[in-house]
Amino acid sequence: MTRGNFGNHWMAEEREKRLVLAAQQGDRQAFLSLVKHYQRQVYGLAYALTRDHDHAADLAHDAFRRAWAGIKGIPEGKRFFPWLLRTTRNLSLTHARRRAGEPTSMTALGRIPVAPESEDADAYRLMLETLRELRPDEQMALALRVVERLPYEEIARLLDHSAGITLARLSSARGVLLARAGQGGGGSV
Amino acid sequence: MIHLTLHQLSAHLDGELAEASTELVRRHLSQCSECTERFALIEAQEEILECLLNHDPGEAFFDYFVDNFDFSSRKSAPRRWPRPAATPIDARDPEGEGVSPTESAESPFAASATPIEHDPARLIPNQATPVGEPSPPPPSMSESEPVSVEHRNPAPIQAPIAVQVPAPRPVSVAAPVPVAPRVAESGRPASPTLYGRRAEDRKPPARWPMAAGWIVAGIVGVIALSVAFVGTRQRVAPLPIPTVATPPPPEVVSDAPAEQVATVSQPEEAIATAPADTLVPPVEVAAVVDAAADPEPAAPSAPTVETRPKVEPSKSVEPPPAREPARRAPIEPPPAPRPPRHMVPVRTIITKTTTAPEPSAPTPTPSAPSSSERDRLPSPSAATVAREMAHAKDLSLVAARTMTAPAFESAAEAWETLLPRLSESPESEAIARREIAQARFQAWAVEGTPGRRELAITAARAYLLYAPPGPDRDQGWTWLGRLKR
Repeated sequence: MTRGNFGNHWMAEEREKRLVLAAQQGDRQAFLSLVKHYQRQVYGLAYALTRDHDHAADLAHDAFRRAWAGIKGIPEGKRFFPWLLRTTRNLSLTHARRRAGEPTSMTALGRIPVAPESEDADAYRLMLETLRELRPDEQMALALRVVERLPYEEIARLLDHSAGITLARLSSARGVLLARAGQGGGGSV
Repeated sequence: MIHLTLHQLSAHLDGELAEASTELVRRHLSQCSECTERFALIEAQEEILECLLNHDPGEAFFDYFVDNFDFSSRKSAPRRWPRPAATPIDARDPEGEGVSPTESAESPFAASATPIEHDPARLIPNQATPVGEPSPPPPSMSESEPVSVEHRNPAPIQAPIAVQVPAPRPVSVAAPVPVAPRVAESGRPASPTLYGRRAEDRKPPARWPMAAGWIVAGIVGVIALSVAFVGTRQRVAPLPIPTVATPPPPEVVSDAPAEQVATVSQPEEAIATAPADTLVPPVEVAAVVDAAADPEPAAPSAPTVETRPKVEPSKSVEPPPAREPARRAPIEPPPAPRPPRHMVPVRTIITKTTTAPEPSAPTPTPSAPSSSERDRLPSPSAATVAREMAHAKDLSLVAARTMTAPAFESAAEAWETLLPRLSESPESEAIARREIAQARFQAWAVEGTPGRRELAITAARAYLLYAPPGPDRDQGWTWLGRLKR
């Protein structure tokens, strides 16, 4: 299994600045270079937030389109990548609200390492259901930590907060997942 | 024994603890079966998460993504994205670079794991589609996406099946269980695998019950607004009250409009149908009388007993408790259901609260007892303390979920209230102090203010006085260090 798309996630700062500047002046090719560099990370994050290929692709596409529309608004001195990730997070929130009434997409169950009819698959199914209850920030922290194996400091840098908040979000998410699995995880958080 | 917190277990799992803390956590885990079990559950959970959250759509998808990027800002219809070829998880990693849960000795599924067969019928259709070909509609497709059933099933579809109306469902946000025509009925063969079983879950949600719910809600809202408006009109409208209030001969009342006359001539019905704001309960009457007797009476325009009630009880109705005794005696609690408080004229309420404090009724106040009172209180039972601790833990959990400073402060205050009752149990007191310190620290971390910092430092110091040596104590020092930094 391929693990993580964030191995070389940071584009060289000078190059990114140059591309962002060109994109701000309307250079589509420069923006496509940014898309090409960051599409795996954005798609990976979108998939972790939606657990569905089609939704993740739509979400990643919308995130880049919104980035193109608002690239002139990137704050001075801020990197493009964290800004893009936060855009993805906000879109995922909208996405989650829009699809709140729909049943959970179970397409991810097609890749689980157990027989779909077995009892073990129920754990995966329950996990998919419970993931929808987590807040997007918690889901992002889980995605960046569990899938990408990023350290807390790196997650904090990407999401623009402190490492303590990363720990709190991860703990909170894991506590909810534990509690929903019927093992109790709340109380002593 | 004080167990490890979820924060500590998480940080230990992620390898984010310092070496000394890691060693302490390891030592605790070797001694505490409960924490060991919890930690194993988290680890198993991580493997499931890693499997569910990770997905590589393949290079073809990313090439398509860049080549067909749409720069337009307008919202476009959902696109058809190329999908990865079906690659079961055990065949996707021939070099063994990734770690599959089935390969892990610690996997909870190691004993019962069954590799997925390479049978396309068992795979999800959209993943069985080769890249580049037009993909069939996914089962979870929403209504906005046209489902071309004919594409997969050459047999003509019977109209009754196509227009089958889903059964209505109760309007409930928390129960998104749509009932829709079965996919199998529309031509797709029902599979005995996961698809067949979960097909109902992937039906598009029925829209019209939701619309009906909104319509009903709208009607109810309009009715409620109308009632409120009518009530307001009736309260505001000038009433010929003086003529009604005095025990009148019928001739006096005859000056009033016809409906008022009718009302007075039929007092029982009038009372039964009178708006709630015109009925004054005895307690209000007494309060107003007391207010009138006050050396600093209200403004001349303040309502009095004689001018306020629209309908006074006549001889056919039981009068309220006599006014004279009510003026002197302690006020009894109202025997009858009282009209809502907001229906009484505001001036009366103000007068009552400022000039006529109720002399009786040592009503229990919800405020926390003072320290001297606390000393006099009987020691609470263990069940009470346990219940209050559970409540405080719930607040802590809520705070950890919401991650807002007020929530953490509420949790800290709940624990602080509980603290005096735990003085006989040092272990429970240490737990409480840890929770207080943690909540104060989190409140500061989420939304830092100087006041919160001071409170957090105080709480951390107090906790360090009680914390046993170990990771908990280290955590206290960590909080204190960050607060001072």
